[in-house]
Amino acid sequence: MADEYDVVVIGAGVAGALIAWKLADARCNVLLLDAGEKRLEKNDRAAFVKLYAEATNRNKTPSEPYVDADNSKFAHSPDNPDFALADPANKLYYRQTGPNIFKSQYQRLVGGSTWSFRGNSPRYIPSDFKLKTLHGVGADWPISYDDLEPWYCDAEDALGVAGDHREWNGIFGAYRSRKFPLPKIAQAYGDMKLKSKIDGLRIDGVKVRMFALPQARNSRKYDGRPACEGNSNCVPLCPIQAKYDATVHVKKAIKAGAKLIDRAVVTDLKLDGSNNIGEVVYKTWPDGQINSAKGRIVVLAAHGIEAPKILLNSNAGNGIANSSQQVGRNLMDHPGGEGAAMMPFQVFPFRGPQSTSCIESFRDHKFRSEFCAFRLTIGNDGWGRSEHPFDTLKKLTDRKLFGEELRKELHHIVTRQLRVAYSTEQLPDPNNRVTLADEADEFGIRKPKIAYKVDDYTRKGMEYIQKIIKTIFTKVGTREDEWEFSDLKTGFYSGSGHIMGTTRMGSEPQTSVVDAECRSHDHQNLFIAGSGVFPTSSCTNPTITLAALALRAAESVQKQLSS
Amino acid sequence: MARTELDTFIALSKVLTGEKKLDKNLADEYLQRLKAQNPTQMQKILAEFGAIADDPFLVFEVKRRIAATTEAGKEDLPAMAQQIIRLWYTSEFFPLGPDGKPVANASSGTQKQYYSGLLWTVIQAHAPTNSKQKYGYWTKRP
Repeated sequence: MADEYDVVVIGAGVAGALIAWKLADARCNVLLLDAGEKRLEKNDRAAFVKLYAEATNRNKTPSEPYVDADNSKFAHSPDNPDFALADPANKLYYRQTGPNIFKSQYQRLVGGSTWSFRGNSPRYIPSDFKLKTLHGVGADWPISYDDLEPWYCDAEDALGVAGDHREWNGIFGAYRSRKFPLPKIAQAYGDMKLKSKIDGLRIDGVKVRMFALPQARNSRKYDGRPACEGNSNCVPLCPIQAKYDATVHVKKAIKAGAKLIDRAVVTDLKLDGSNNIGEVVYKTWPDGQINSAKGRIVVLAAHGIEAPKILLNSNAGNGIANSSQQVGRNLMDHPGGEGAAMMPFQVFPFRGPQSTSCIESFRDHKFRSEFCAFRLTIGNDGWGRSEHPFDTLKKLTDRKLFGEELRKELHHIVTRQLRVAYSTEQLPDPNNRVTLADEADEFGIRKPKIAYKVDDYTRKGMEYIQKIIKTIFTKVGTREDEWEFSDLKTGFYSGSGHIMGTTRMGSEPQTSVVDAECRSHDHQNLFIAGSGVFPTSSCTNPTITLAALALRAAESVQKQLSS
Repeated sequence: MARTELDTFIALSKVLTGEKKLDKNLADEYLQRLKAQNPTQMQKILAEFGAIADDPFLVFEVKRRIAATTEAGKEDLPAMAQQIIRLWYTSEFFPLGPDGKPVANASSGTQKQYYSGLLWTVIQAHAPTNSKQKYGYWTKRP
């Protein structure tokens, strides 16, 4: 017989952990399930650090610290090898049909993808919620920035976001009713040198300004966690937990009385006679035992690929929560890229967080009906994806340099390497979707099949963005023959690990999966949390927005339980 | 006093890396790793260096006879020299295959070796995850 709870939360990433914590704190009887392992102790973190340090540079991917044989089989975390179109012999987890490759990963581990995220936490701006009304493209959210603003403040307090209130209050109308809980993360030496050259530069009538990047990273001791020591490893792992990760709220949820079951892959959400979720069926690994739990309310917070997968797999594969036929559709990411240059001054990368500054000046612009909004992040990690210092070294040794000559040249080059990364907005397209593949994983659960395209709205934006960055590089005095840019002629883009849209929010049940409170239109006791509920993507890291939505949804769940 | 193999390797490594002080224990670990992957090439390069080790113009000789040599029969010496450099600088290297060229997959080192990579000190930084400094140090130049 299934155990019974007030709330069953599926997924112990940031959305699920926050909801579990809030409800347990309100004395609800909460079960928190996660497909991944529970690795919550200091020696777990140390083991992750060791594993990562001992990986080859090529294998230093976001999922690498968390690789474990059983986890790979039963709760696979997609990573670089999955970023390929599927072929018959291919055993990859993502079964991709194209035409373009979806390149974002996530972590199936208690704490979820916040283990490996960078920690960037800028809010969405008011126009992001009204893209259709203001620019005639995409969709409108059923809520406004005003509706979410108080929750943004609470989310920033919960995660510990460091930022400059003066810089960020009112940007594109995004007022802040509360200051950041932490002072801004100190900006890197190289960033400030760059800022002195470009701050105030006007491009196409837009004043370019460099801001301190708001991030869920401690600028002083906060919530029992230390201040950042500049380990330069934010992605994929902070060795000292100065960067927030959701294990913080998993532990708080447990302390408040929530029960955590890890290594539990949800396979089915069974409906009862009232069209509510009657039972949550899950398999534990590695034993494969089938269990179930009942919740008066069920919160599905399994991120943008696993959540639609669970919904589509349920009801003997016929699916649930899908009268709109939108479950799995409107998959969005923030396709990205970068421009890299040799600065005419030393910037000394790899000292401090991987990025401390950003340019938000194009978060909304006059061309947004034609091409995407975007934001720029100043990298503090040399040439990032364009060229790792190990590759710079190889170039020099290939030229047969050695000894003192090699040292000098390596120092000269790497201490001047700087990149400007861009993050673009993608429109919701119902043909960009997650469905179920024919192939099953080790548990017999059908794998996610992904169809994905990066359209001209985004690609045209990338062309414009690179012109902006080139203008900046020219103003700074860099040499064009030393530039490296993501190659748009080959259609290059990178994934951001921001998976959105697949269980979208909306007022109309015919065109959306959840309502403004993240409640399923179809099943009264089902809530869905995470970036999957976003109707549009903005160009901005989704974490603080999904955290705000999660806290807001937790209040709705609590009200529903009481009524 | 006759040089040991380890002494020869350390002396060669100092010339190739440009680093005047190399940890002896680390050198031994690296020597064993290199010998395990490419015993023939290592024997050859150490022998070649041993023959010139006392030359007063050592950098010139290393360049001509090892790092940039074009002499017949010594085609693998520059590649081996490059892997020795990469090992000291990054803790990983690419063993030479039967064709004398580096293979596709790197051999990676221990966590301690990764942290000891010379590249990080040359660029005046630290290996990621190995800061050992206080908040805000990155606002000033090193």
